[in-house]
Amino acid sequence: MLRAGYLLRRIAAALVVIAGVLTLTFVITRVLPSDPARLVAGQRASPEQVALIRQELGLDRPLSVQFVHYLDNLAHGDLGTSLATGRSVRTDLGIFLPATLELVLCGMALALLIGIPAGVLAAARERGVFDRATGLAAILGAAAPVFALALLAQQIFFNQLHWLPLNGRLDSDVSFAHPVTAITGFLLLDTALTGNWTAWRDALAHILLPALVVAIYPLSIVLRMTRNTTAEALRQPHITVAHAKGLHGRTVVLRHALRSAMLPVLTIAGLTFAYAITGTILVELIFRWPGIGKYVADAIVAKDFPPILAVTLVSTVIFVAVTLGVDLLRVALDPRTRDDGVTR
Amino acid sequence: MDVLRRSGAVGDAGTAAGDARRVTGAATGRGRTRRWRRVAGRPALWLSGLFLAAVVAGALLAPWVTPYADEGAGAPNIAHKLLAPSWEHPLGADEMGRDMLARVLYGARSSLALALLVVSSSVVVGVIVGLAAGYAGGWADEAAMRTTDVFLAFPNLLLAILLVTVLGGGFVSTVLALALVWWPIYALLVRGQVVSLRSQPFIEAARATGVTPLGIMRRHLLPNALTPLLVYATIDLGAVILVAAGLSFIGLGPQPPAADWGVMIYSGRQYVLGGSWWVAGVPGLAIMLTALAFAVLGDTLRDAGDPRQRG
Amino acid sequence: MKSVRTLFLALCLVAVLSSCAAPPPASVQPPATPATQDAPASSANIARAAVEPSAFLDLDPSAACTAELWILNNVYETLTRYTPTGSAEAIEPGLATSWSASDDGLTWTFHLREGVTFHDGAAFDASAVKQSVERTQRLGQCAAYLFEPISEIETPDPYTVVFKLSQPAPLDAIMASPYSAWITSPLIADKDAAWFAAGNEAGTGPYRYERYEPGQRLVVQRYEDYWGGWEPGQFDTIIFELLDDSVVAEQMLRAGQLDFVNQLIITPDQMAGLDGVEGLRLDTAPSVANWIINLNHRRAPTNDVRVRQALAYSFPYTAVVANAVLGKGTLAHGAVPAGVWGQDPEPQRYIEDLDKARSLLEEAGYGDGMEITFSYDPPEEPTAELWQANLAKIGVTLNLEPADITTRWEPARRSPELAPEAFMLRWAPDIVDPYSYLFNLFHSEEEPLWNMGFYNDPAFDALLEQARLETVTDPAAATADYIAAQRMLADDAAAIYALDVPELNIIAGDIQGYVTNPAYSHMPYWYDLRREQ
Repeated sequence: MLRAGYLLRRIAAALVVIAGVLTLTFVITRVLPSDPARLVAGQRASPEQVALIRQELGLDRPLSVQFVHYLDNLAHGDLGTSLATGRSVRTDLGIFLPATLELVLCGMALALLIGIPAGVLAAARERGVFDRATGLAAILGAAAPVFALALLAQQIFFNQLHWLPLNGRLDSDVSFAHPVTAITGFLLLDTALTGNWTAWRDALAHILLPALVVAIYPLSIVLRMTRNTTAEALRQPHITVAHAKGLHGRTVVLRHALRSAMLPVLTIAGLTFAYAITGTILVELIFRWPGIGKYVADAIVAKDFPPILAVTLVSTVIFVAVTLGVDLLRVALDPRTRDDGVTR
Repeated sequence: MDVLRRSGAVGDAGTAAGDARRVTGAATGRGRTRRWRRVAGRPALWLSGLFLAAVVAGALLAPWVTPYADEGAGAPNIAHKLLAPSWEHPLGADEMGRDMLARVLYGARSSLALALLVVSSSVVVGVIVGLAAGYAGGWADEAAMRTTDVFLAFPNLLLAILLVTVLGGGFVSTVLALALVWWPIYALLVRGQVVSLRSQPFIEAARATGVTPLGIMRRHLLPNALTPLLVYATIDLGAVILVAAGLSFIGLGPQPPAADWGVMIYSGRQYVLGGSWWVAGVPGLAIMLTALAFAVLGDTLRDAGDPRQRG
Repeated sequence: MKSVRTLFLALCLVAVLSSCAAPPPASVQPPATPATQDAPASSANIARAAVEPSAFLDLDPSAACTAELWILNNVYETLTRYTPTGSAEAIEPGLATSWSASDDGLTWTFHLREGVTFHDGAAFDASAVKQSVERTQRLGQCAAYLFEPISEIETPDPYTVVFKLSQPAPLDAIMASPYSAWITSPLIADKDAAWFAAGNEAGTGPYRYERYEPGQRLVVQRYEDYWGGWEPGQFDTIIFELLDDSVVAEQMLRAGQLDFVNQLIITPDQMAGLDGVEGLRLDTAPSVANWIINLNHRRAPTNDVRVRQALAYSFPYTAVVANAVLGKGTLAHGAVPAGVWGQDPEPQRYIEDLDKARSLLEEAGYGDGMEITFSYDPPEEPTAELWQANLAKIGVTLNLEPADITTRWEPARRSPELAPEAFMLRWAPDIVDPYSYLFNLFHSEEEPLWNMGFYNDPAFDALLEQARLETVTDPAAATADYIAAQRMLADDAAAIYALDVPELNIIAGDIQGYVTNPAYSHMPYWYDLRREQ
């Protein structure tokens, strides 16, 4: 009962945020600029085209009417037309979004796969060598500009070691000899589903480096978070009791400490997801990764406004959805969660 | 360590719970001296402090400390194109033959000025909104908190990109855009402090003795929020430099000949493979070390203010 | 208990994923292996070239006007072709085997090659040529102006086309232009830009599209029924990598992943560093391209001739020659570069003279300074900064607006009054003729196309027209008139002639057969190239 109430309130809160996001973007795009039509039509547009857009947007009508119109368009999935690609932004997003999601998900997977075990290890020997080393690495990882990391990663793994490919999602030879059938748009998944293992291996090789760079920031956060919560949990009475009962040290850490540490880590993972999306803009630019980040970067250069707005909206909605999902997952995973979502 | 704090902030707004806040821990302010003594011996703190002092001094005095002030400001000297580091040019020369040390110092001027302006204006707005919301409570509080939720739902670089695109490039609009992205954090932080203190006996007492709301805020509420504000503001100076560099890197930075770290990396990276690593490497290192130093400083401040930390 | 189980499940998943996420490096195709050396034999017939820019390819051959042409030159063909510099004949047969003109230059007859098919199956014949040229005229884009003199097209038999002209024009040269002269299949007469952007084509050339991945690459494959036939050693596949990042291009070159990159993609400075790299060579050849900075005649302050002259005197010509193209460029004489007939033999009168520039500005009332905007392609940043520094010394602030040509060109030509005061074009001519430079860049236009200074002088237009009409009938008079026209432009300081540039390419060392052809600058014809075995 309590949980149902929480669920509803949590969803309502998310909807309020979405409504606010829509209002804010409306203000930014329609009220702030001196000529919203010129912004949408692009600098390349002729006065006639601008006039047409002005009419389409209904800029001569009251703001309230414009707002309703704006929401109506969004509700129909109308995100405008990209001046650069000449396609509707919705079509473009359909093309570019899967690549970004694949990259971000792989990055998050790396962050969790490396961050959680490393964090636990660090906590197991608090202030030990490993703890200090990972602490330093984490603070470095959080302070390094992502584009510098990307350039550095290319320099090391491509130019020096020749281990990993430079950029793109697939080698052109491979995609030529082993064409990929698009099903989900996730190359790793599509190639696996069709049994195209040559392309799968190539796709994996291509995604490792950008995913690693995307992962660095979340990894730093997850590592320190896991380390801190685990260390704190280890000091809790029930752990001490477990120790007293003679349980082996490793078992204690894993079963008890990690258990209470997992929930905050999960929360953090969800939150860093949004930052990973932000980071991908620069990473995709450098790795020539055909996702929404590169789409935005190209749009900035081309002064192509509709994609910038659309990607901002979509990323924000994804972020709100992910935080909502994480919260709901917490409630589902932790029976001790109270009605207000707070863990006792 | 940006997200750690943000997660705590969002937690307050009723989304993710306050676990993260428990870990990051806001300071209260007792036993401050003892805790300062505890952190004062850390070499990382001294290194960071010295580095930042050097950067700030170098930036402030740039026209006088470098013999290549005009090159720092942008004058090309094509005869020195891509000179490797030497005694005359300790950090080499860039593609226009300008002394890299002078360029980096002039770049520090704009980076630091931008970060300082963004953070200070965010703090001011955040403190006002946070104090008002936390003290007033009720629907005003609710409205303020929902507004911050909305801002925090945007990935910060994307919101900044959107705003800079709309406002047009340039220093002032970049400051405006980043401040708009940043203020909600401080509003949440201050508001959280205020709410936790609002019903404390000493506040009740002050109110009973007829101290005005403004007086209570100034004398009791604000001072208590000061340590965490300082911690976050310090870390944010580095974070703002990073995001601003990102904006420059994708082409939303200032135009030449002005020195800007993000632009310098972008335009300099085409010379790296040919061997002139310093053109992009030096500003890259400058950004990284500066952000790192601010992070270490902020972390130390936090530890100093955190009574739960064991020494 | 439940959460513990979830946790262990998660950890198991972690273990599984981490085992597969770490493939042995051996399974990764080593990217650093130059395709030239120990690559499998099958890839010896694949070549890779870089093409810019990535996002805006207009693949309609009647409209394409920039880097798309580097691809289209291998997919579509023209009736005639320019020969490389130094050949006996300036023009050679293409899809037409022979041609003749009437004495008045008003009737041109082309005899067409037989046995040619379009990639879409349509037969190549006179009616296809007629429809193709009419389509280009109808669309009116890019160099369509070249076809304006054509008033009527007759097809007396399937392999003969007769063009009736309203004015004399060198139609044999026009039909060789890589701009807008491509012959397209009659089946695509009504297709629009979207159809082409979806990766469709219908040419007669040796290569056909295999696959188009927008923003990534366009792959072309040999067209088995190509009329020229195939012999061993020719490339089966050309992969055009769409690159807008010079650093990515340089990395790929160093890793042996590209065979051909030109100076519009990577900067000459980068090329200097690549010249010594194993497996690569720097190819330098004279070209007929030049850098021209048009000055806006439709807005203040550049509508004042004294201001334009001051700007022309402020440009750092020698520093730019020394720095811009590895010192391989030459000082320009005017709008028409060396290597093109009709070039003014005298050096241009404007040299770097800041004192003169300052006094001209004072005279014009801008002694206290002014601010103008300069639009150029990003790789030319150093040139822009050199000029900016010179202008700063005489109180002029130069705002830099670097952008890809396709991005900056449209808005500027749409609104002349708001367009930048200085607009640089890296001009490669549509036909190797002074007319290409003088008409495109300076002839008055109702709807501006490439005249980005919006220069408008009826006397100049008339002189140009006269010279054009004399081209076929009285070449000596045409030359004299073109030289006079260039001097009129100098009187007006209509533009700044920054530099005549050579063509620079980085080519894989084992690629044989590339001969620079100034008329098709940066457009290798891959059918002619081989990889040394």
